[in-house]
Amino acid sequence: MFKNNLTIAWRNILKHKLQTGINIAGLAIGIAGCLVVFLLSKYELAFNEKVVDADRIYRVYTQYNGQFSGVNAGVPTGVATLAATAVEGTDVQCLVQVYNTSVTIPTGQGAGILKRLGKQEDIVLTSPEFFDLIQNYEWLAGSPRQSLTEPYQLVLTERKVKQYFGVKDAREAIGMQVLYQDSLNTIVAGVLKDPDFSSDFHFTDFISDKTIASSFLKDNFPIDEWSGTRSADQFFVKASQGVSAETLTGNLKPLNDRFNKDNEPGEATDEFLLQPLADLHFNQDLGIFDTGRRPAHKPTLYGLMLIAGLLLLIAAINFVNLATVQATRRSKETGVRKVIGASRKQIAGQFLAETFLITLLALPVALALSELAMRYFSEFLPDGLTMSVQSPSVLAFLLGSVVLVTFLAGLYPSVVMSAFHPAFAIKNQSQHQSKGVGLRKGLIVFQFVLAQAFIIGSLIMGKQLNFVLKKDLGFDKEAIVYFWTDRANKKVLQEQLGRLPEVKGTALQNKPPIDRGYQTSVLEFDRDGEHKESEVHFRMVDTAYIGLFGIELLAGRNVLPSDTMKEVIINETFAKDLGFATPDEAVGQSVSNSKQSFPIVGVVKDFHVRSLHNKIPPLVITGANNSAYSVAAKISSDQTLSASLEKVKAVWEEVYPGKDFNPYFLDESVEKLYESETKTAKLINTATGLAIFISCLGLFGLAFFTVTQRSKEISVRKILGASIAGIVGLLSKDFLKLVLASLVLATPIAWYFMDKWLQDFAYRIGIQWWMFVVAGAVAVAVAFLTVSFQSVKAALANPVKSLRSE
Amino acid sequence: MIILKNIERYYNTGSQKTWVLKNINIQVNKGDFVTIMGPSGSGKSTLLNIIGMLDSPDAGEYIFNDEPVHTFSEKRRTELHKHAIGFVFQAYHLIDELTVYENIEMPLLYKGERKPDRQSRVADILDRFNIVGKKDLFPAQLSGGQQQLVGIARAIIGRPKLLLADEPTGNLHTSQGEMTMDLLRQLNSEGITIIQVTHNEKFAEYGNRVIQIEDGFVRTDTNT
Repeated sequence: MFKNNLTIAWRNILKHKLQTGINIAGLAIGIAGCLVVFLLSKYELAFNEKVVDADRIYRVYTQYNGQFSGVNAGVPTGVATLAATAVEGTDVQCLVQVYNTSVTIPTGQGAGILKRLGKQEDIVLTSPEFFDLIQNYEWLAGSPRQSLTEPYQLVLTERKVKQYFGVKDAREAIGMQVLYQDSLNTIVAGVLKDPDFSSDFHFTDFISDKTIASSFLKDNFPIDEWSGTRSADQFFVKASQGVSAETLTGNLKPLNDRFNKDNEPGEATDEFLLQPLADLHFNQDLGIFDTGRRPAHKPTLYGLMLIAGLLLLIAAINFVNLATVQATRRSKETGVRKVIGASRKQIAGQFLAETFLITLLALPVALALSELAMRYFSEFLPDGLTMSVQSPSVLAFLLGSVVLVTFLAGLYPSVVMSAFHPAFAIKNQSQHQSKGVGLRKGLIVFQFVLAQAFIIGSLIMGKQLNFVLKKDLGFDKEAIVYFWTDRANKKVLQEQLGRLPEVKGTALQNKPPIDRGYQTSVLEFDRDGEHKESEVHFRMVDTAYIGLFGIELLAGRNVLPSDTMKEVIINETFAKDLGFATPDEAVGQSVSNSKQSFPIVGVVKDFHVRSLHNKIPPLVITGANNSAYSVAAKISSDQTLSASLEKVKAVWEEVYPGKDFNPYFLDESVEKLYESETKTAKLINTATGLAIFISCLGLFGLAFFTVTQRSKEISVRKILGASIAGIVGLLSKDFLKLVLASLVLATPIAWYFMDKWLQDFAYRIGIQWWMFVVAGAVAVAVAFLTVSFQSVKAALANPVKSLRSE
Repeated sequence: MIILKNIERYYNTGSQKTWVLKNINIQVNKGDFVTIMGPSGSGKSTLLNIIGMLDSPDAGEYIFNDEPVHTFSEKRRTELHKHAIGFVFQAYHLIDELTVYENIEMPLLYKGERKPDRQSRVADILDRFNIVGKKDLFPAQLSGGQQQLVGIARAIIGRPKLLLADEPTGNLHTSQGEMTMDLLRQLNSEGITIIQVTHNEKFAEYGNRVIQIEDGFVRTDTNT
């Protein structure tokens, strides 16, 4: 029976190549989208899942309350010391201190250098308890207690051993030396197998934390300190069996008390809180570790799932539409089968078998498409993400999607057709025709609502991105390159760069005018007995800064050369906040912090300090060479950029031999501020294209069958004198009406979502009526082209032919 | 075998009833070869559909082999007609996508017969109808007479007790029509009860009884 079903299904598929092609193309795109999103979600959601005791592991983080509320993924190092005696209910406590630095491999004889590796990530200072916390590691040599308890002991993963020493057997590395930050001399005391579990603990170099006290590290890694909190110092605990997160959070009270010890009365108390390991990979506010890896964004994942699901749905709708429009053709066959003795179930089974077969055919196409998609979206996808068809989960997904699509797309047509009354069906009088028409119209409208919502969405996103990238930021961002230096020699670098003919100007800065990160401080202002406190952004610069970036001075003068903060220039926003009616009024006044007072010597025109997501904040520019250890240079346009950059690089290498040359271009940095939006836009554009494509495939198929069905009517009209344009209009009108109706529905949906998206920007374009008109026009044009291809063909056909065939 | 008592079939057009069949009382005995005749629209095909259990009467009783069909659920009616009734159509109604062999085999598939049984029975009937050489052809590759032959083979492969033929010769040339009727007569002599609808006076004579229908009523019922 099943074989017979497949045979007839196969012959039908071959006979109706257009319909088969449309269905396969649509379903393949839908399945491919779902597969890629499935792989991505599975990859991201599996993070830290395999960690032993994952449900008992927590990161302790710092929550600041009150005026400057916020979080820090790290804790003051004093927390680790105090917790050892004061916090109950834990099996393991472990401080992990991220130490991103350069790595050097000595030859082992004299001062010889075997390898010089630049700055590396995933280096940590920690204690043997780390391996009690995360028990998944396998040791090839050494053990936690032997290999990580003495100063200068180092544990490496197999991969790092190979990279550093090039040895075949990782165990040979025991006893070899690795230099960190040029002079921290460590000895390999243990080797780990490369972790085979997916987690955020990507660490490869574990340095014994005992090293800190006995080396220069103690300057940068304060021990038992309560005054500062760095996100690089992270504290993990493993709760004892049966201890709930609430209980454990309560147990942190001694830490909170100690932390808030010096608070003034009435001041908000900060606190330490627990973040479950399961949240580590997804919390955007806390981040993961101080490395380049960013947490996965769950809403984005869900958005992707939604988009992929919608694409599959649109494809399934095509299937249903084409199947119901074909029902008339198949009704005779169905009737005969019923008369011969087929039950409803058997008829439905046959149509499901056909759907199944088509879906199955779509699979290889889907696999090829997802390979392509993964390449096209590689910037979106994490490096570790690969597709392997053999993996059981992928197979299970493919099987699941085939079954799901078979029922989604095949169930309705098979139910409709199996319900045909045989006596009528056999005479090709399908009783469900009128009902099918309504459903078909509804489904087309649904498809085009989605397609047009996507069009509007990508239009608005494109406009907004163009707006933020083209907007005058209030300073000059072209041809500016800047470097982060260590404090030494920054003036030498600046001076030498200034001498190059290729460089038009240089400046010292703590940050360029616009930056992703920010640094704020509270300044006070008193006038007429009124006291005001403001959180203010800072640019600590030299005298050349304002000129170099073309920042406009509205009143007063530039700052005078100074090593520390003595006087300030404020921006217009700050001037207004302080209640000055004109910039001139502000000059000569002064602001202060708790220690010192600073005269306001000038007011600059507002410029953007952060991305356009944020309003321009109150800002202070102050001359403070000591705090400015970034050097900015404006490259002249006389030569090509790369030629000029070569010269700049030569200077850098002269001043900082052996240090990586990492130039940042200001215009690129500005673009980077909108990296995630650019990615989203790319995704939405693709989704738009696909949604339009699949919808039009369906429309094309429908037009084809409608034209076929109405060929007799068309012929009669032609004989009666209808023009070609008239017939094309007649056939296209019905479809276009549906497309326009869907615009009406798509408009509020797209409006709602895009308005929400735009709310994220402090500076944004307005949603305007013409955007919806354009989206409608695009959809109508595409739909008209699709339909007219068929209708023009029908209109040009010789009417005698189709009449004769009756 | 078949007893129809006061069968009625009508459509509601607005508040009025349009009668297709009214007050039909017919009894068909086992082994009969009945011909139903009448002008277009007289209700012949509707009557045949009701007898074939493809349509149900709006009123009246239908007893088939002592079973009150008019009280059956659709499912049970399907089961009954699957096993007891075969159909032959004017337009043959073979399935275009299936070969001759597969078309003939199909009723057995729906009955759930085992593969070896199916094979031997299809082979028997191909042999008997002399169409073994055509078994792998598709319907479009056959002449009308050959298609009707396949249609009849398909109708009787399930060994029905009753064969219903709706203008079986309507699309055929005279010679092919005669062949078809000869075949039906032969099947009737082997014990299958046959009811046919036809316009053709000559082919009506192949049966042993003619029922004339006009405007939904039985006009005459004569044995020949």
